[in-house]
Amino acid sequence: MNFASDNVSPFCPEVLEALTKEASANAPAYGGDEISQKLDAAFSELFGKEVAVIPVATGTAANCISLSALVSPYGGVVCHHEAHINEDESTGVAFFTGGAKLLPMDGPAAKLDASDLYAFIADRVDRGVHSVSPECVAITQATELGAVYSIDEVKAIGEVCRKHDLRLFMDGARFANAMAHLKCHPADVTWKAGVDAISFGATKNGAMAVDAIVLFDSSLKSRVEQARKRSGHLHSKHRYLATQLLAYITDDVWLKNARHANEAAKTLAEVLKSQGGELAHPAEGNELFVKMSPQLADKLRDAGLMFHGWPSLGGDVYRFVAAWNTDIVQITELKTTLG
Amino acid sequence: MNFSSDNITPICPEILAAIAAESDADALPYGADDKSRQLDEAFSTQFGIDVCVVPVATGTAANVIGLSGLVSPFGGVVCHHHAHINVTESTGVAFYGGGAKLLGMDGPSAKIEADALDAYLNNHVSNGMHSVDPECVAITQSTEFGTIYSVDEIQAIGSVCQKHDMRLFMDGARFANAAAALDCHPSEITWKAGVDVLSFGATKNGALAVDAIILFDQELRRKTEQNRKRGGHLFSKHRYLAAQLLAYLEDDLWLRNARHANAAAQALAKSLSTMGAKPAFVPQGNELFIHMTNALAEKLRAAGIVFRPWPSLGPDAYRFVCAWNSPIEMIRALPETIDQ
Repeated sequence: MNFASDNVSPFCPEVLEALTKEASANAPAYGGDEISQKLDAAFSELFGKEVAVIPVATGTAANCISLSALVSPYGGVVCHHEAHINEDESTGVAFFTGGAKLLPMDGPAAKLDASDLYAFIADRVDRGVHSVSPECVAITQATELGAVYSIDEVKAIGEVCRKHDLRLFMDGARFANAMAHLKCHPADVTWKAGVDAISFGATKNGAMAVDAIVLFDSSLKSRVEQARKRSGHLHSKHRYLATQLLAYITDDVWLKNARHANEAAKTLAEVLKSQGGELAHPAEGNELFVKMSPQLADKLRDAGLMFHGWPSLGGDVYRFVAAWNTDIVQITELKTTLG
Repeated sequence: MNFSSDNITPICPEILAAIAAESDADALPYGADDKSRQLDEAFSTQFGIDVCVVPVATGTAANVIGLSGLVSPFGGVVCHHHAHINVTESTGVAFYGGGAKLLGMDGPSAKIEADALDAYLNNHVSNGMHSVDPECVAITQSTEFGTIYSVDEIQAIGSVCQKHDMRLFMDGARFANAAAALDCHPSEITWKAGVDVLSFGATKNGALAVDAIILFDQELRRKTEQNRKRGGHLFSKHRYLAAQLLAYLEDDLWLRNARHANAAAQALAKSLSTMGAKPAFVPQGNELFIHMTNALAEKLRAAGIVFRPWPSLGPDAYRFVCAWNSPIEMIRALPETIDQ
């Protein structure tokens, strides 16, 4: 069983069916087709607010293009030091923003804490053109360490942003997993809490390749569309991005897939605990971070499990990621296999 | 019938089947999967030389990332002023090139002529760091006007580049249509003629979304891969890019699709000529640029035919683009169908 990442998974049947339907007729290019034209309305309904949707094929593109509209070339983006934009997206943020700097801070389970954020910003000394002033805060929901911000936590961060006149961006590569955990309306942890833009992930959770930039501030639309085009992220056959996204949100496929992944992660957590593993922090989404002995790690590898070491949490910590297609029965059977 | 572009077409059956075949099993991400690992070899066989393949989802990305390895932030890229990178890719080259500038020149039917290029480079006055000095030449095969560089023409351009120490880039969004029309080995119009990097198009010719950056100079690999990553173009589920490309090469699907598109364009040229239209250039690939009267344009539109005016060639000029799925028999029958 492969728990190395959720991006090892193929696309889900609903997304394949949607792609297959688009295999016979011609359709206008660059978003002029009927399916692409439905995106804004579909996501506006999902979020309970008028939104603009700009789909791209990768999560990095969704994050970096969004941020390019929220921060100036000489500004700063406050994020957790574990944030994907800080650790795994090369110099993408600086590239797309024209030089903006990431200002990383600490916090438990890769979460920013609202009062720490307040202090971080209040303590900064502004030296005019010489320093980098924060203009935007970026949080990840679910976080890179598999934790989920509560509604109150996001709201509190939104308050701090408002107080300091900062934009708020959400990396939602695993937003579906967070929603499946919180069981709240998507509005509660986004625009109602002050989020200006979210990268709404689908690739990791059953799509082939599409993440949507969802803008709660429609005035950002033109800038984001220009940035998408100039960076080569506007697809000519745009309908194939759109059809993946519509299939993904139709009949709650996104939540259904995420619930499955979260449940698989919980089941796996129980199995690993029974073997002597210990969770580094509560697993709320589809990612588990587990402390265990080298012996147990070897035993699991011998049983055919694939997973990554996670040295930033310690030499004895490992990451396991479950996905929409993880076989839960096989996980429960692991208990017997492992003895 | 819709001739507005070849990117209105759907995915072709072979490529859909290749994607659908990747819907059961897990696979390693970011290009470590079995399919992705076959790419270099498959394209090396196709081109008859060891190449590095860096796939991306769009033609613009393939061009601008491809060029970013060939020009410095303070350098210039000589191209035809009708080139896609100059007219239709926003400020993408400057973005990925860190500021590099496009230096547009003229030439018949969107082609750069070797002699004119040599003169252009000879006449360029370098003021050291004050001026933008050419570092790279970019040509498009097939051109934006549906014409095709011959083997000799590209070799001549390659010689000029060599003489002036310029890199040579080829925008091959419609490379398949050119290769099909020339009926030559793809090496003849690429690395053997001095091309350093090619964007090998598939999206317009049957793929869902993939164009491959083909590096004939392997030293460019790291820089190109870094630029792809920082540009957000590295796919996590990379196998879906690779599966499309492998299916596209298999059994010469890329050439078969292109031959169909080219034949459709020839048939369309004939039908439209019969009806009184005049080609602006001799059509060689899948694009057709014609002059016709308003009356004929209206007649075609009334018959449900979709196409675009092309004002840069005159107010009576129009573009028609054929594709792998264009209905050739219906195209042949157009003069009769429309007169009925």
